[in-house]
Amino acid sequence: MRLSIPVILSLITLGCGAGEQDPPASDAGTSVADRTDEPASPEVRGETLEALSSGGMFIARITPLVDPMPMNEAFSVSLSLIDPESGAPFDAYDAVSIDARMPAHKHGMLRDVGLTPQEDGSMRADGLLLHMYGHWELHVDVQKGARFERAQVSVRLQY
Amino acid sequence: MRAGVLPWLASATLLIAVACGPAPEGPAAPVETAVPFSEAQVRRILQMSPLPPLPADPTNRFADNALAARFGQALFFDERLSADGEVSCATCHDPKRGFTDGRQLAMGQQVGNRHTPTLWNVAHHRWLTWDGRADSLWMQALDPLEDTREMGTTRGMLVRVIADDPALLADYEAVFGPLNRAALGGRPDDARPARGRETAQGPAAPEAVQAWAALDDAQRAAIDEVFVHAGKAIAAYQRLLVRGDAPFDRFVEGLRENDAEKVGSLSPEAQRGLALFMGRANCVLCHSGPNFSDGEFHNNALPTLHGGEARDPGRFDGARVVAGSPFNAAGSYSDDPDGPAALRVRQLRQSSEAWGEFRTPSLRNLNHRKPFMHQGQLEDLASVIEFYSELEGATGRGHHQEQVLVRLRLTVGEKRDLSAFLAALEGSQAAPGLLAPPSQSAPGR
Repeated sequence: MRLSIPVILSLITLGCGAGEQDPPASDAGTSVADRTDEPASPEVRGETLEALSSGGMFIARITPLVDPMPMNEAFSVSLSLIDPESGAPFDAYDAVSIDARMPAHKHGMLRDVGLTPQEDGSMRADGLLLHMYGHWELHVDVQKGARFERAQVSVRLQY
Repeated sequence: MRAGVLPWLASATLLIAVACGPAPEGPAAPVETAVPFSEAQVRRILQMSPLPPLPADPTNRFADNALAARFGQALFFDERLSADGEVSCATCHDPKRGFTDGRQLAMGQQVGNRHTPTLWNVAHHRWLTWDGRADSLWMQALDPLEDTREMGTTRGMLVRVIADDPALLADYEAVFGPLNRAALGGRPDDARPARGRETAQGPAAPEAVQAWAALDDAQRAAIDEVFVHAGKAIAAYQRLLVRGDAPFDRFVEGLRENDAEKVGSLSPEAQRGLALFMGRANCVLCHSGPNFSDGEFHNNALPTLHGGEARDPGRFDGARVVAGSPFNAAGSYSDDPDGPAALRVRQLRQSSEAWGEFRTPSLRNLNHRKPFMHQGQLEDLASVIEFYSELEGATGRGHHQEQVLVRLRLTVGEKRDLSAFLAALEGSQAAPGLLAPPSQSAPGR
């Protein structure tokens, strides 16, 4: 079982018996309507990483579907492409792919991680594997006609 | 493996204690270690032990079947499963030599091109052999049987050996049900399909390949079924070849339990070696996790046995072989063709950067395993440490290949400390019943 920090803190509260009640929704800074936008069974998600592509064609938003990103265990991410000018989803491309590399070591995952379209317009990639501690770069490459652009985010896997 | 969970668990426990009222006694002072490890170092150390339970292998539904393991153990030591009747799996994977053979290059029917890797803790690897040409133990077990340099038999002959030996047949049928008699029709004794490059270069055993081609589809399928069952049984046996509980594991237990006696299991010399392993030498970069291997592939620029530049493509070719095999995790013989292992093999990419890469070996249970490296080119552990210290004789690498190593320039004392730490990774002894054919020993489990 993997325990995130919030889960552990929840366990602390439970472990001490009756504590303070949850504040009413109106005091919690999050409306009920906002909450209904969440999936029925929200997945654990890490911090969204965002980068503008090399030529400004798109913004890539990568959200790990696990927190933190594990070392040497396969994991999944959600990928959204955004039009930088309109903020709308960017889908005017011919091909898109995601990969991960360690620039200092000149090696990567050696896996072709496919992208599966999701109902909300995002894409899901399964099977990413960061097998060493250190600095990794996640690349999102988009081809549109003869134009190729890359958006790149850095990740440091630490003990 | 997950970074940072244990400290948070520890912190959470502390917070619970604080929030729920004073503990009856104050927390014990942390146990003293010969080396003053920092909190971050302790966090790293805790991730390196104990050896976890074996990962499940859903591609083999017999993986944890005791009868299958016993049958597989019998096959493992059976020299009849070779072209000349004198070579078994145990010839190269000799239990008395750490499940290797003490030779630089394996010697079966002919001399091979690589050193025999150990089988200790082999089930903890996601890819098998030096180049990862198999993605399961059972797939790997099939390959040497028909490799003309190794055992050089055929799947047709394997079926015949099982069918003609009443005891072996009974053990087979107790696990897998009645042997498919369609496998025995005609004379398929020396029948096998062409292997990999043989297709282009001409088969090494042309008569066996012709005999295979002459069989009908039903008979070929029946033979393949028995062949795969044999592989899955050998895999079930190999899953038992696990040795943890090394002095290092007791040391880590001591850190967890604040037990000074257990912490004393690791000598001051070995503790300094551990600090070096995680620190300046950074061996842990590839030898990570409780099995001391990341399970992946690296090019460590080793001098070659033949001199000059490396010629072995390593993972570059291994990726091609496993992806194209009908026996991989995604194939029709897999018991989980849509599972995680199948996804892994479907996603494999054959990339030039994998050229000359070999799988990181586990550093547990190094006794009796010399020589080391994929060609056995380094005669002992001292030579291995010396190589990583000075990188003398390192072969050149192309600009597109991995660059992990740096010259460490270790002192004499540091080399001694590192050796002491590696010696502390020697696990407890395996059950003697696993180290000989089942007829000469107690059952495998």
